[in-house]
Amino acid sequence: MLSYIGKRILMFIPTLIIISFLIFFIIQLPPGDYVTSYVAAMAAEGEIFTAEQIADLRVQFGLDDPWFIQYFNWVKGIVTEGDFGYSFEYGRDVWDVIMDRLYLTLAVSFIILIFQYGVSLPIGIYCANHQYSAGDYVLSFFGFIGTATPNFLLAIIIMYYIYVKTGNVYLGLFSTEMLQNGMRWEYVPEFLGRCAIPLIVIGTSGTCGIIRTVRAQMLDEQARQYTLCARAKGCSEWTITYKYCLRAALNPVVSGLAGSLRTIFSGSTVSAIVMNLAIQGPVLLAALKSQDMYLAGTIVLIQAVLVLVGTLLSDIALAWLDPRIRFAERS
Amino acid sequence: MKKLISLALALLMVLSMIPASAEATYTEAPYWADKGLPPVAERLPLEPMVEDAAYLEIGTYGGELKRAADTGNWGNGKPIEEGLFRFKTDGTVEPNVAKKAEPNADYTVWTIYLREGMKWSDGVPFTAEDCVWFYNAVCLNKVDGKGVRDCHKDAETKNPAKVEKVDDYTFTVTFETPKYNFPADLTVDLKWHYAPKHIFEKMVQAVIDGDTETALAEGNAICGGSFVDVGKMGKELLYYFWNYPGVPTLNPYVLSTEAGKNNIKGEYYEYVRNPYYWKVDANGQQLPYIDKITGLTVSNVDQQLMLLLDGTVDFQTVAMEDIPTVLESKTKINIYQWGTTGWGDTGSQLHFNLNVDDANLKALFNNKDFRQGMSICVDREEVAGIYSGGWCLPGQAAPQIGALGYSEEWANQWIEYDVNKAKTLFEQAGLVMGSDNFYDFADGTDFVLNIVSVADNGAADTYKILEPYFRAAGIKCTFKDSDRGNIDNDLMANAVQCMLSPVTGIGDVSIALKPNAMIPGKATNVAWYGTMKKENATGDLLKLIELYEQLAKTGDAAARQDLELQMLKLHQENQWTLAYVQSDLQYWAVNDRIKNFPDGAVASDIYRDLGIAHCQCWFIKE
Repeated sequence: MLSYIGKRILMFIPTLIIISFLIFFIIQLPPGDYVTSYVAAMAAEGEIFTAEQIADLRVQFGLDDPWFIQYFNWVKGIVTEGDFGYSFEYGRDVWDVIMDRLYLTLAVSFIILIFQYGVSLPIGIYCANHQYSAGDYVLSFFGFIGTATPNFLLAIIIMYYIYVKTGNVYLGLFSTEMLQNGMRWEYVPEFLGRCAIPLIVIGTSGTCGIIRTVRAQMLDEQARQYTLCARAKGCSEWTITYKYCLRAALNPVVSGLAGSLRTIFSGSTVSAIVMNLAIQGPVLLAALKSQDMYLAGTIVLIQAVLVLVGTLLSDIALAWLDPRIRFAERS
Repeated sequence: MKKLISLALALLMVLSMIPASAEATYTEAPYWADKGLPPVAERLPLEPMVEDAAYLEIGTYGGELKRAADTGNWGNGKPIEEGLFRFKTDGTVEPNVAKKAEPNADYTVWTIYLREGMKWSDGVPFTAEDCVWFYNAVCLNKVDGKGVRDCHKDAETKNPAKVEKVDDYTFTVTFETPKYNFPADLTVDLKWHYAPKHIFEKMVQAVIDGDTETALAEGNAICGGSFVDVGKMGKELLYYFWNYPGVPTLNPYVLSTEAGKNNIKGEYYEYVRNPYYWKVDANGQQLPYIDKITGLTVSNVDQQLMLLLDGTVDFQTVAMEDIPTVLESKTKINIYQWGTTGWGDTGSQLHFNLNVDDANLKALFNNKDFRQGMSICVDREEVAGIYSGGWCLPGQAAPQIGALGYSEEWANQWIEYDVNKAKTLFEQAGLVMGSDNFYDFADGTDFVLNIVSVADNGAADTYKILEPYFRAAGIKCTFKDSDRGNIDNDLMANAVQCMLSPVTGIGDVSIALKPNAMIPGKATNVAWYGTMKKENATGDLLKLIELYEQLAKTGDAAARQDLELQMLKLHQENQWTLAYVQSDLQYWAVNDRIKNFPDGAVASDIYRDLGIAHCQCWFIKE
C-alpha cells in the first residue's frame, strides 16, 4: 500500500507540471492582459492613461516578456522560493491574498459539506428502507429542489422572500454592526440566520446526487444474498442497514469526496457573488476577468493539487472502508 | 476727558492688534470631545474656507453616511477629494486648498498662495514645501506612476514647468511661454499638487536612488501594507492615497487605521472625520457634519440597490426604470436629478473610425454624405421608444441645452427619417447598389459595416433595434461585442472599424478642459478618431487640432470662448459621430435622512462627479 501511495505521489509531479502549463497558457489566451483590463477599469472611473503610461505599466508588471518566459519565472519562483508571484490587482503576494479569505472559505465550505452529508445520508437510507412510500416521495422532492433550480436563482428567490417579509436584505454572512463591532454573543442569532441562506442554497445543490446514490446503492445491497443471510441468521435491521449495507453503499459517496476538497478551497462562485459572500470563488472569477494571472493561476493550481490529493485520499479511504478492495490490492 | 479719549484710543489699538481669525468663534463636533486634541481654533487655518452656497442649510453634527460599492478607488476618492482649486457647476474655477492664484503680466509665472496655519490630518503643518516637493520629487521622477501632467507642460515646447517655493505659504509655477489657463488645467489634470513630505520623503528618495528594499520597507511601514513592487506602491500611496490607512490627507475624511475597517478591498471599511479639516460652515462650525462614511463591498449595482431599499445604504445612482421601485420602498428615499454631459446617449452613439486602415472604408467614413445617410435612415422616434421605454427623446450627438455650443439646429441635425434620401446620399458617397440589395464599393468589393462594442453595456440590444433600419437602407452590417479590455486593445491597434456604445462616448462638459473624446490624439480609446494624431489628420480634423493648440496659447477669455465655439462648429458641420437618442439624466436616490444633497448639479469627471455635491456639508436629520 505504501509503495502504491509513493508511486501516486510521484505521478503528481509531471501531472502538476502539465496542469500548471495549461493553466498559464489558457489564462494568457484571451487578447489583452492585466494592463488593458486595468486601464479599461480606470477609464470607466474617468482616469485617462497615455500610451507611454500604458507601456510603462507593462514593463512594471513584466508583461512585456513573452508568456512562456513569464511562465518559467512563475514556476521557478514557486519551486525555489515558494513564491507564487504577486497579484497585480492587490499589489501583494498572491499567497497573502489567498490567505485573507481562506479561513472563512474553509469554515463555510465545511459547514455546507457537513450539511449536505448530514441531510442526504439519512434521507437516502430512509428512502431506501421505505421505497415508494409517501416519505420517499416527499423527501426526494425536497432533495431535488436544489439540483432542479439554479443556485443563484434560488438565492435571489429566498432573499426576495425575506425582504418582502422582513424589509431587510440579508446580503453576506455579517451585518454592518458585526463588521463594525466584531462578533458578539447578541449577534449570534442573526449570524445563524444569515448562514442559513447559503446553507440552503449551496447545500441543497449537492443533496440530490448523494440521496439518489445512497438510495440506489442501499436498495442494491439490500437485495444481495449476504443481506438475506444476515436477516435469516436473526441480525437486527439496524445492524443489517448500518453495519453491512450502508458500509458497502458508501463506496461511490466516498469516491465523490475527491471533488469536495477543491470545492472546500474555493467555495461556490456564482452563488457567493449573488449572496455577497467574502469567500475565495469571487476572487478567482475577478482575477480571471482582470487577467490577474498569477493570482488566478495559483488558485487554479491549488485546486488541481487538491483534486489530485483528494483522489488519492478517496482511494485510501475506499480501501479502508471496503475489505474487498484491500484484498484485491493484496492479490 | 483727555484721559478718557486716550483710554479709548488705547483700547482701539489693542483691539486692532488682535488677528482677524481670533474674532471668529469656531465650534467642533462632539465627536472630538475628550480626544485630547488642541482647541478647534488652533486646528483650523487662520482663514478657513467657508462653505456657504445658497442651497446649504446649517447642519448638525453626528451619524454615519452609509454606502456600498463594488470597487473603492475613485468611487471613494472623488467625493472627498480636495484639489488646490475646484470647479463650480457653472464651469468656473474657485480656490479651494489654495487661497488664490495670480499670474504675472505675461502669464509665464503663476503664484499660488496657500492658507496659513492649515494642517494635514495628522496635525503637521501643510506648507508650500509639500506642494513643491511633490512636483519636484514625485512628479518629475514619476514616482506616482503618472509623472508630469499636461497642465505642467509648456504650451509650445512641452518642457516641464519649474515649481519653486517662495515662503511657507507661497510657491510659483514658471513656464517658458504663457500658460493662460493654469488653475483650470491643474484642476482637470492633477487636482491636488501636494503630498505629505514628512511622511513620504524617505520612501520617495529611496525610489529615486533605486534602493528598492528601503523604499518598500518605508512604504509598507507607512500604510501597514505588503507591497512587493515599487512602481505599484508609488502609484497606490501617492496617487490613490485616500485608499490607504496612515497616509495623512487634507480631505474631510481619512481611511480608518483600525483593523477590520482599514482595507477598502475588504468586506467593510470606514472613513472617519479629519480632526484638522480646514472648512467651516457659515456659523463657524468645523466641517464635516457627519462623523464617518462607512463602506460595504458588494458584487454589483443590483446589490447596492437592494441595500438602498432596506436602508443599509444611504445613497446610490439608479436607472430610470428602477425609480418606481425605489419610491415604493419602505425606506423614504428622495430622487435628485443631475444633468449629464454626453452628446446623445452613449448607448446609441455610433462612431466611425475616420483613421481606419482600409482605404475604401476610410474614404467612405470621411465622407459627410455617408454619415448623413447613416443618420437619416433610422426612425429615431421608434428607436427612442424601444430603446428607452419612452424615457428618452430622439436626438443627435450634440451638446445638451445649456452647454456651450448648443443650438436647436445642431440638436436636430440629420434626425429626420428618410430612407430614399439616405440611399441617394450613399450613392453620392460612392457606394453602388449590388444585386443582393446591399451597397458595394465602386470597385465592386463588398461593403460590410463591421460594428463592435463592449459586452454587457446593452449595445447588443441597441444593435438589434438599429440593424433592420440599416439593412432596409442597403447597408450590410455585422456585430460583435467583447470584453472591454479586448476592445481597448483593438482601439490602440487601430483595429476597430465602427463602434456602437463606445468605450469613450463623445461629449463632455467642455471641449477646452476635457478634450479627450473630442480632439483627435488626446486619448487612446476613442473610436471615432482611433489612432489619428496631428501627423495623419487632414481637412477639418487638422483644423480642429490646430484650433485646440491655439487655445493653449490664448489668454483672453472671449478669444478662448470663440476658439471653443469654432471647434464645436467644426463638430456640428461634420457630425463625425452619430447618436440616435438624447442623453438621459443621472438620478441619485438618497435616503430622506441625508440633508444638503444638491439637486440639479452636473455629473462630470472634471467636476469630480459626486465630489461636486460636497459631502462635507451633508448632515443627518432622522
